[in-house]
Amino acid sequence: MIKSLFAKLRGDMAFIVLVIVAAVGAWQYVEAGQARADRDDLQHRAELICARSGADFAAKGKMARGVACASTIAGLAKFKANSDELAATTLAQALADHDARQNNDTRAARAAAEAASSAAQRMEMADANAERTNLVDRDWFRAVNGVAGLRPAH
Amino acid sequence: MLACAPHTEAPPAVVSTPIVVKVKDTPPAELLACAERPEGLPEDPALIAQIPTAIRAGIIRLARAFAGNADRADRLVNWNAPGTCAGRGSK
Repeated sequence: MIKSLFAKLRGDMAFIVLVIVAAVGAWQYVEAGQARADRDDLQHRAELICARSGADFAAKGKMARGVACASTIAGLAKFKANSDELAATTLAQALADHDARQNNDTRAARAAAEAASSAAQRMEMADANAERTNLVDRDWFRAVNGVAGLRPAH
Repeated sequence: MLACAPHTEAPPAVVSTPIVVKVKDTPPAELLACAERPEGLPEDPALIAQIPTAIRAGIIRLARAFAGNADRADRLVNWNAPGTCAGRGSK
């Protein structure tokens, strides 16, 4: 049965080959159409992406297409990385500066408070001595200078 | 022809400075002057005065306020320009 089928087909060989070739051709035609659509879409997207970076996708002078755009985008990426790094360094430095400043001020504040409190104690004693007679002498003046944090006048 | 000779054109470099700016807002020099600490009262053993309690209390209040203000002024100056003022007991 198969033999008779082949025998029949052999007679129409030319037609069968034609049908096969036509089929392959049609398939390739469809494939090519899809590839073309794909390519156009990709090119369009590439142009959009480049336009967003502020550069042209098209070839310019001797430069192949996309080269200028790629360079611009690389520059932007580098710029961002540099900015981030610099910002981090600057912030860390500012934080360290602030801490150092805060520590120094805390120390100064404590010293001032201690000096003020001991001067206030001496002042209280000196003033208590003058309370009865209202007579003030060197001790009282010295205590006042101590409270004000001043050197004595000559 | 020279003009038609193939040459590779370098792509334009993106030149930009990272936008990180340190803001240093320095106050005017006048505000960075240390507190003025004049000479106080004389401590001469020969000097004795009679001062009523109310006046004594006033003098003590002034002295205490002076010290507090001067200390804070010096701390503020040192905050802006570290190590500028020596503080209490200095000129």
